[in-house]
Amino acid sequence: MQGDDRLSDQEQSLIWQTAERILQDLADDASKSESLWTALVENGLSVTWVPEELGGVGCEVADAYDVIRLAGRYAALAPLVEMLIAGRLLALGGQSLPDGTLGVVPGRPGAREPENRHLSVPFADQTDVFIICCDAARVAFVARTNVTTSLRENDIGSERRDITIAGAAATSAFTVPTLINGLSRLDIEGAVARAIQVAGALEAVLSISVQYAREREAFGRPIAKFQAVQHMLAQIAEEVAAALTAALSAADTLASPPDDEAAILLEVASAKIRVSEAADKAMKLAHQVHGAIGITNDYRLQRYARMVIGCRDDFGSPAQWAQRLGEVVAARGGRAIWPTLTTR
Amino acid sequence: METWIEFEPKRLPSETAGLRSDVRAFLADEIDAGTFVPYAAKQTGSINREFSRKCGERGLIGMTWPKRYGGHERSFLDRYVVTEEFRAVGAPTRYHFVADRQSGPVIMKYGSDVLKDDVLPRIVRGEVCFCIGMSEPNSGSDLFAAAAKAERVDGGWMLSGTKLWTSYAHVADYMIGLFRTEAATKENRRHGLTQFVIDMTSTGITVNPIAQMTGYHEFNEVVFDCVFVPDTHVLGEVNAAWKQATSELAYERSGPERFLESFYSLVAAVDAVGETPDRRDAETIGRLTAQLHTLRRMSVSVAGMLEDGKEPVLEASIVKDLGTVWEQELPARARELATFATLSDGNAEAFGDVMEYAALQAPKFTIQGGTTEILRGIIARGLDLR
Repeated sequence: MQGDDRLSDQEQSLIWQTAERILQDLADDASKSESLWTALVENGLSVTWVPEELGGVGCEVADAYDVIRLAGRYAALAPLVEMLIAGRLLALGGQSLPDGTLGVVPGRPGAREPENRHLSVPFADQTDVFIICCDAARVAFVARTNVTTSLRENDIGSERRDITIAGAAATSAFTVPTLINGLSRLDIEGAVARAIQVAGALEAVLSISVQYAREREAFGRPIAKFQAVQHMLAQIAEEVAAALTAALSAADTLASPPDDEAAILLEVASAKIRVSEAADKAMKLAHQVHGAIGITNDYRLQRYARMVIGCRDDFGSPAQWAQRLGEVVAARGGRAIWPTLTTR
Repeated sequence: METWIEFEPKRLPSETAGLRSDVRAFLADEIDAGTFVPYAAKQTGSINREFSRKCGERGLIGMTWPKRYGGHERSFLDRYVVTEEFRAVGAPTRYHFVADRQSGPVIMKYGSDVLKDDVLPRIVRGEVCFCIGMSEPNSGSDLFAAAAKAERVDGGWMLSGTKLWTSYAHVADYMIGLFRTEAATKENRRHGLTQFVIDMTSTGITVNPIAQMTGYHEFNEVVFDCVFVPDTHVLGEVNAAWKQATSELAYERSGPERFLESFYSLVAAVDAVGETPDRRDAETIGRLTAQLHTLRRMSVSVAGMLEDGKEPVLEASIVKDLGTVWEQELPARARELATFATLSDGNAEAFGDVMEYAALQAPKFTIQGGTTEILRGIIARGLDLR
């Protein structure tokens, strides 16, 4: 066990310990999802990084990323990450938190037809106020009363809905400082938050897969004893390592952004791209290790599969982010690749 | 929940920026002087004693070593910056590279004072080349099946047997070789191997080149016929070389050389595509950049662990496996990327040359220094599966 260097429970921050305790107690059971959300809200975890004067608890940016990572690890069926993203945008725009549950309309690739219709919005039925992107510089509130939701027949996860926004949604738009010209801050903050969440989910998927392989027996021994299975688990571990690195690096960048747009784009795009690739590979291998039981609703792997598949195109698809990054790299030429990678 | 992997997003200290620009300036001068051509395929790994000597003069070898051996007591992160700058453009560091990366550190940890005082300062000055004698015709991944023998004689040992795939043995001044001093026991199949520092000018050593498909001479067969090695050249405990192998692997396996070996093919392809690629070509470039960026961030993280005095064998194995698989696939992906690029006659030929060489180089990346399968076994052990 590579546990020597990891923080013991006592060394984790109070925020981490509080969030983990709640998630450990309540996240596993879908019937407890209301209690889960209540506990998270009561402990200030849904507003971790919003300054106190705007209605939050004023913790560090890194603390909120810890909460998001844990939300991924425990596949929390609660609008925790969504509300944190929304709160972050409000805080950046100097807006006080409205009452109720906040959510986001995560921009997705492709043109929208009609324009007021948005597909696959997480926790839409639970959300009182949505944050939506207006343009690269502005974000707006949309009240629940202006939104109708519909559930698709072949729904990816119980908490996503397609929504239609009535009337003039952008009535209460506000500006948010940009980090990259032409890119919405909501997409940037959202992409990194999702990267951290999915990296956390993959950590759990590794743990679950290792545990399963140790317990499940076939041909007279735990399947973990077979080299083929060991190598699959090793590859899952590699993808977890890559996902964590990319996501944490980007989170660190947003916590204290450098004065260099290309450097920020490199970090954010890499997190989105590399975490998606890690998710694809790790989930495929995890399912393969588990065999048939992995796809059943009774077993917990599918909660992670749904979360990861559902998040994939939130705040832009990996291909979109790759295109943005590739355009910058190509414009600078082959010999500038190395200098671009090494500003920090 | 168990099984945590930690990869802290370590940043290189801001002070390293100055070091980086100094190294770039040095390399720019060398490029202007014609010492090497940047991003050229065939010279990756070329031997240049003069260049190594210059690196020594500038304090770029033995950077982290104690001053008492001529080292500079700088951090692993400083060394990391220098290594990656050299590697990215393909600077000809091969003469001193192995000595700097692993041979010197192993000698420092396990060598006699006589040996240390003799060899280490010369490594630091860029005057010495080391090769690694581990694999044999009948053992590679199965390191402990090594059969080349060392027999006790007066004042030292007599070596006989054959080492194979020894990179740059034809150039090296010394080999660190693994020889069998005793039979393995039932209780411990790793018992019985000893590491020696062998003077390659010793009587009885024959180096035969191995021709391989890239046309480049790097690998050799080294035959030992009654070669004498003095006691002062034994590293660590006799029969207990297995204890010494692990830390060496952590150093060897995590560096930027493990994912930058084919980088020149990406540079060539991006130049071929031009400044305004179509959507899908831009996407490909973005993906490859993101993957490379992540590998680098992982590698820096491991360098940080080394700096903190840890022995990150699991993490280093992860980086090496991911890195070597990526650099192996890169030539084909770079070639695909540039498929529809318009290149003038001279450029098209040069480009074709680069891509073909890269493709011929690629198979060895996941074999040399620890195969994919061995690395995944080490990772599995790190997950408590073995």
